[in-house]
Amino acid sequence: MSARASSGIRFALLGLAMLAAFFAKGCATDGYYTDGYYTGGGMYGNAYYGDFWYWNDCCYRHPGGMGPPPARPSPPIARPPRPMNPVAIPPSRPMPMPRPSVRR
Amino acid sequence: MKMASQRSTEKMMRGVAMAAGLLLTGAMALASTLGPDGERGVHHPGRFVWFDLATDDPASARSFYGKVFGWRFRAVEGASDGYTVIEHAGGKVGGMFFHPRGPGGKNETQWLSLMSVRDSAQAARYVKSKGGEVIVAPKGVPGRGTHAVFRDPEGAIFGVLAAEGGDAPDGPVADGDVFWLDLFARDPAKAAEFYAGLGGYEVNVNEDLPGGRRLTLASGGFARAGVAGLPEGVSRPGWLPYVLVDDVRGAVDRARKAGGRILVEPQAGLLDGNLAVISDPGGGVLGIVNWVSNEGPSGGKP
Repeated sequence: MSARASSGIRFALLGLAMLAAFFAKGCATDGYYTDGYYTGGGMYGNAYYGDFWYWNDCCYRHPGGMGPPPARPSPPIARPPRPMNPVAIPPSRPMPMPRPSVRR
Repeated sequence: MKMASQRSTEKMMRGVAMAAGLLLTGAMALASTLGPDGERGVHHPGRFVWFDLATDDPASARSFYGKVFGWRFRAVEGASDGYTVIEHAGGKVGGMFFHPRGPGGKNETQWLSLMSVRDSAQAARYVKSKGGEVIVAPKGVPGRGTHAVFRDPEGAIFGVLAAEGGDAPDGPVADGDVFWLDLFARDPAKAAEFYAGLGGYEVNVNEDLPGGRRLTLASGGFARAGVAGLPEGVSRPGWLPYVLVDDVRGAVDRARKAGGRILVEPQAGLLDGNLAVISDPGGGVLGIVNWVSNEGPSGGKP
């Protein structure tokens, strides 16, 4: 093989290796086992997880207030009649609600 | 002889070029699968935009969530830990990946909820400055953006994602998508303050809701999450995402039949029976909720 061709091959292989290294970076393929023990890697690394619901191995009473606030009623709730001499009430902004739901 | 050598060299070069092309194609395929289908350059800080299940039994989880929510799963070529994207009705819910059991066989299955941020590194600095912990340092993943995982100052685990493709539009939520989240905290007011500084939330206090005083975190004009005290018997704070369903009891039945556990049954005191908490067979916990918007027949934005 000529020196020129050999040089060309080396150059191409180097380029391929650089390309592979570029795309491998951040692709999260660094998880591996050593002596049967998982030592890290993956999308998030080897961080400890474990769902908090199971911290005391289930079951307990739920807190009263959980989940989204109830949807606003469609027809507005009837307001009490205005007093004859209205008292100044600071303007109140409506409480933000969750994004609307939609049925497919 | 020289011509034969040149032909051999050309053949090898073509092979190398083809391999490089395949590698590039593979990387591009990966690039379009690991994050939300967003609007480039558009972020909705404070909105939770991606949900990943860390589980030691992805096969059981796929079967369970497919039966309960109709989710579909697409393995990502070349991704580590068997990373699988969860899809529903043409959109993406999040992902799932293999996470081994901890020492002593401890179950470490967990849903991770990722909040949209513009800058994950800045978020990490904020978390550290407020007494939280960086579990996974900001990490760029092609086609996804930069994510990081933290413990808040009370220990609740959550993530952030600066999606390189932007966040999905802030439109109506459909059945099978994550609709709501609750943070269970020892000190809800203090926790709300921490997250307000991170997600730019407006913290609202509502005294009139069933169950008493409730804090909600709002951004972009929408309530995104609630903050409640710890359930009785739970010593560790955490985030709970809720999936929208059209029939909570039906979903609970499907979960039970698919081998899941019902941690909180639907009951009158909880959103009139429209809320429950379930666990998949591996221990991943999700809330389910039926929440009908009254903003219009199509659920238009308020």
